[in-house]
Amino acid sequence: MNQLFDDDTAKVNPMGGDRKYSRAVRVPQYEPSTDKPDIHSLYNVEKYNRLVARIKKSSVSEEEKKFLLFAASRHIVFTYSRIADYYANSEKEMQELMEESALVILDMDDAIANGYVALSEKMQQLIDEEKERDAKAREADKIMREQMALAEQKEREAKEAKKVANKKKKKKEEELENFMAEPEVDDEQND
Amino acid sequence: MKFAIFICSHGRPECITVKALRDAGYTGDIFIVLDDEDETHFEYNVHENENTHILTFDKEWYVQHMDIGVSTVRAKRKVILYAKQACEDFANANDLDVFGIADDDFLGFRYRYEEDGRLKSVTVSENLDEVFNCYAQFLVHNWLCMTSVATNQMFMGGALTPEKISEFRVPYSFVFRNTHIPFEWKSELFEDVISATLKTQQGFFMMQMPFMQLNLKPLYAGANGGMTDAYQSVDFIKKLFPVVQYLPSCTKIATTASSVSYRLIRDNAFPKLLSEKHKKYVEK
Repeated sequence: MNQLFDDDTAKVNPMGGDRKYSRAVRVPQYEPSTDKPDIHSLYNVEKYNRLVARIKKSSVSEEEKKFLLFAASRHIVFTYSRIADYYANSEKEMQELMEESALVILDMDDAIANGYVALSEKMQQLIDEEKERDAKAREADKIMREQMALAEQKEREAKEAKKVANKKKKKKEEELENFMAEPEVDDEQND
Repeated sequence: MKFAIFICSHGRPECITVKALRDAGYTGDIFIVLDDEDETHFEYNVHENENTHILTFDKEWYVQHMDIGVSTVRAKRKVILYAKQACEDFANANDLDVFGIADDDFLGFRYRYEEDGRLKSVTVSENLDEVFNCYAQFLVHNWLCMTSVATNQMFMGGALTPEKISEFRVPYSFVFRNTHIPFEWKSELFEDVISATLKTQQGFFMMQMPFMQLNLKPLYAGANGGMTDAYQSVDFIKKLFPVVQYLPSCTKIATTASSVSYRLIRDNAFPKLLSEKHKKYVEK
């Protein structure tokens, strides 16, 4: 297996650096509201409650009911933007419990956001290199096409000149043939 | 960092992704992953060389051991799910840090960038190694589970599109996986959406990369190969059922004039990524 990549890309904080390309960079972090939403608005249990009511009314065994009640929780709808808003406005203990349940994903030390900015800048550099290569290739292609066009033009002109020369030669040959074909004048008769 | 690309293929020995990757400057290892039921298996040998290898996996074993979401294998077994899990196992067996999982019908790669308020593109001609290196470093250093190259369809929409793409949390088509975070592919159909959403709900971050475009063969009516047969072999209720079955709290079945499809409600599917600045370290 190849050791294709070097490990020398240091973890830098690119936020303090040049943000030349910042317009194209959208850090994928959610910016929570400063208002703490009502906790009941974080989830919707409409379907869950319907299922629970049916399970409880049913005649299945207690063990089966227990299982079905666990399974019914899959139908609880969580609204993660409100959950994030709630998290940002909660106290330490609540936040820790929410983190443990993966109700939010915490970007420690803003590593993902910063890493993404660094990645964007590196990608922009690669794109610029490719654009330069592409421009050079296009320029070379243009020069080659021009040279080819010039060569074709010269070839056409040479062909044309040859054609004209051949025509002239043919004309001369015809004239010579005509001259040779003319009847000879009898000098004696004229006398 | 140890890296390789796995191309999942079946019945397409031309495997045009190999050429697409090499033409764009990828020089690393490529593994073409085939199942042992592929009758065209021997035709793939033309690709083999120093950096391009062929791997075969026991499909029946994966069929028996994976969570496919249904009790019978209905989609003619011709689904990519098993190959994707085989890639995970091959990557672990070879101690890779990051690996790519590609389909076998990629045409090429183009960089996308904004210039003068317009979204432009240029063909990737020689530095794909560096791009993959950047993605791999980003995944490993930041503990990301998976990312992907956006497809050409995703860039329809102009200059602001790249910003939107980076908000997408389901990587698909050409994905890069961090081997240090175990991952289980699930469901015979829509395995990308279902598996990624379930893993994200456990607290693992994923996203799509907007810098480069993957050119795919255009889809058209009657297209052959890939998973077309699998999706066409079941009616729409059965086809969409896995999405509702695995993700009942964040999907809806939507109907249009001509078709029925599912809709993933992102705000109900993916926990938000928050800056550490919102975390409180002391009680008030």
